[in-house]
Parts: sequence; C-alpha cells; structure tokens
Amino acid sequence: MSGDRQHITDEDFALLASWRSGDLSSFEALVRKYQKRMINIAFRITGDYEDACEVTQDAFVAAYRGIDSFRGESRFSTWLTSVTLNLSRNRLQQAQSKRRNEVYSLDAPVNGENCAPPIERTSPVPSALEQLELRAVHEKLQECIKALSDNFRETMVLRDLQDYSYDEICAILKVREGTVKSRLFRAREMVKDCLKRGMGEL
Amino acid sequence: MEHAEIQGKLSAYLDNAVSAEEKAEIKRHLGICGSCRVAIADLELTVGYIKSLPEVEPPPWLTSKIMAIVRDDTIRNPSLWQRIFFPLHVKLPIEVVALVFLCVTGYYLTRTIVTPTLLTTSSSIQKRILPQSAANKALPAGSSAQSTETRNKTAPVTGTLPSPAMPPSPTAAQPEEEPYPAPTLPARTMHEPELRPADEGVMEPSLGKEEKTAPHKAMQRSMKSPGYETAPAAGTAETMEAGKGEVFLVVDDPNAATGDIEEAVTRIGGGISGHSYSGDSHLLFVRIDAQKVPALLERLDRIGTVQERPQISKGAGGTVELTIRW
Repeated sequence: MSGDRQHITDEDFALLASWRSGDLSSFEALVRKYQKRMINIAFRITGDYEDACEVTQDAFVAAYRGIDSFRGESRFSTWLTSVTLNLSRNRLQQAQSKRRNEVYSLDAPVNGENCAPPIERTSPVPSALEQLELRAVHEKLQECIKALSDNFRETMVLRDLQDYSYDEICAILKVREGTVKSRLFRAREMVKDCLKRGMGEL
Repeated sequence: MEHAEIQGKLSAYLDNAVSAEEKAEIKRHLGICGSCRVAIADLELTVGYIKSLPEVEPPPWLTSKIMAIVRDDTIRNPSLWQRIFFPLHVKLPIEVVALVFLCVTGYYLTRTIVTPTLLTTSSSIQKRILPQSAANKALPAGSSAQSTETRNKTAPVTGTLPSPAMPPSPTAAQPEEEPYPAPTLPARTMHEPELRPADEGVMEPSLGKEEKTAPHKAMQRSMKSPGYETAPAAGTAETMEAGKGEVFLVVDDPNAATGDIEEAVTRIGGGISGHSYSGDSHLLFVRIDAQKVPALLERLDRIGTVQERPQISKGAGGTVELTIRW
C-alpha cells in the first residue's frame, strides 16, 4: 500500500504542477482520483452521507482555493485528508448542535435530494443469513464508531478503514506515533467491548 | 515486559508496528498467557469487522459540481491582467474606451485651437490695423474722427489690394462706368434702410449713397486719385505674398449670420484674422487657401446670397486674403 501511495504521489506532483500552471483538467483528475477516499472518510466521521457529500465538495474547493498554502512538504493526499478531516469535524459539531436545538421530524427525508444512499460494497457473496448477520454487525459497528470520541474515531478511520500508515496518520493528525498507537489501541478495545455488549459475543 | 504492558501493545503488534525485540517477547508471552491469546483474537476479529465495513460511492454529479464551482471561482477572481483590461463584466475592453476617449479629446483639442481665432475681438483687430492709419492721412480734412476710424478699419481691405489681384467683379468695375455718386447698387439697396442712419455722420459729405454703405469700396475708388496713392504701401508689408478678394453677402439677419459665416470659414480651413462692425455692415477678414475659395463661396451661398465674388484664377496657389462683407 505504501509503495502504491509513493507511485501515486509522483503522479500527483505532475498533476499539481500542471494544475498550478492553469490546467483545470489536472485538478479534475485529482478530484476523480481522491473523491471516493475523501467521501468515505467524511462519511465515517459525520455518519451522514449527505453531509459527507457536502464535506467532500467543500474540501476540494478549499484545496483549490488554498493550493498556494500547500508547499509540497507532505503528500497531496495527506494534505487533502487533513482538510477533509477538519471539515468533517466541523460538520459533525454543527450537526450535533443543530440536532440538540431542533425538533426531530419523522417526516424529514433521510437523504438529501441530490444525494443517493450509500452503495454498499460487500465482499465475497455471503448467504442471506450471513448477509443479515453482517448487516446487523455493520449497523452495530457504525453505532460503536460513532460513540467514540473524535480523536479515537479519526485515528481508527484513518488506520482501519483507509489503511494509512502510522507515519501518515502522524502527519495528518499532527501527533506522535506513540499517541497514534495509544489512541488506536483504546479505540479498538472500546469498539470490541461495544460490539460484545450489543451482540453478546464476537 | 509485564502482562499489562504486553496487552497494551497487542494492537500495535497486530499492525506489525512494534520492534523486533518487542515482537519476539509478545510472541513468547502469547504462548504462555491464555487471556492475552483471547484478547488478541477478539482484537483481530474486531479489526476484521471494521475493515469489512462497506465503502460508499461518491455521487456521479460530485466531480462536475466541484468543477463548476471551481470554474465559477476562476471567473469571479480573474488574474491581475484580466482585472486591468476587463474591469467590468461586460464585453467592452478598455482599449475601445481608450480609443473613443482619444477621438473625443482630439476633436475637442482641434476645436480649441481654432476657437481663439474665432473669439478675436474687434478691439484687437483695430490694434492690428492701427499702423495703417498713416495711409489715411491723405484723406480730406473734413472727415470726422469717427470716419477716420471707419476708414482705418477698411484700410487693410482696400488699401492693400494690388490692382492685378483685384477681382474684376461687376461692383468693382462700376465706379468707372457710373457717374459719381452711384445712385443704385442692387445689393446695397437691400440693406440701405438699416445701414443709412449709422453711416450718415461717418462718411465724407462728398461721397454718394453707395460709398456711405460700402466704405471700403469708397476707399478703393479713392485710391485711384493721386491723394490716396500712398495708402497701399501701408498694408503691403503684411500681405505681400497674398492674393486678395472681396465677397459681398446678402443675408436676412446680419447679426445672426455672423456665427454661421465664421463657422463656414473655419470649417473650410480658413483663418479669421479680424472682424469688424461699422454699425451698418460686418466685415470679416479671412485668410484662406486659394483653392478653397470656391468651396467657401458654396457654403456662403447656403447662408445668404453672394452678390460679389472674388475672381481667383484656376490653379492659383498660396493664401488669399478675403474680405467678407454682409
């Protein structure tokens, strides 16, 4: 994964140079390349697909406007992930405070008009019973992840869902490796306990 | 490492994020500690579940929406070059504005340069003509101070006209053919009622009606007498090289026609060297290219009726001094 990332980074620098010289198609290529990763990060942090769509859109626009502040000291994907995480965190806080202040409506749509529901990608075709069990596990798992504090959740999303290396996580979250290991251990333990409580056993 | 410490490193051990020594020690501990084996199995299962979480797909419109925002952003924040040359959100480059500005400025500058000539007052003309008063010393002593002034005004016209350049106009030829004073002159009779009162005390008693209404003509005639032979010499210094001519224009409203006549002269490219009003007629002293005289006469024909035309030979070059009278 790390070697693959290095290869992608080389391509990114070429695209960045082209984009900086005014070629919008290079920026578009970067959007197409990273939009899925960014929307998944945003979705796991905010827990809402519509919010994830908006956060991803805002992250790319912010990256476009603030490209001058990117000095190439880190990988473009690292910088973009950092932007996405910050925006996701802000969006989650806004949503939480909004939820506290507004009356919950049963008629309100679950997803926005422009946002299609998430398309699940399930690995090896399981049986119907297994699918039901897996869906139940996923729902419970999402609840458990959502219950984590921001720092633990972000570390877990980056490591276990997006396969970032410890070094990259350190760069994105701007913390030491020991902190990353500690947060990851505690986050996994909490999710494990959460799942055990919800499902009886793993 | 103790049991608790090893348990804390199981997560990193799972990610292979521990040193070789730590890895060997944890491995050895797991061989003897059943609870740690259960803990790492649960941890591995949990991470497996987390990794099995489905990924969401971005909506198909996301890329195009991002690009639309970015393109709009580019238009709203144009480069410095674009900001200078396209300051407005209209397709009107500043070059076009500059061109229009230059044209308008050029037009008004041209007008401004011509205008001082147009605005020359009669007093300045008098000053210019004043040296020629010496030529009028030979005039009869009976003329009043006012008549002297009148003659001074007319002196440049009549006194400086060399005989070869004199237009052989009918009016110019009349004095020799008709007895003196000439009683009738078609053009003048039209102006007679309004011109006579102002002129009566001005002209010499011996002059006839025609001479009273056309003082410069009278001067022209009187130049033929020996007493006036010195008059042309006074004005020649200024107009040595120029041809001369006279235009007599009949207009309905002389005062109102002044502006039109001056404009006609300036439009045609002529210069106005003086303008005088003797109370009964206007005199405009004009310098104009000889080839433009016909065009000027055409324009004057539109303002009134040209009764007297200067005779400019075809192909004649240089500047001509014209006296337009109305």
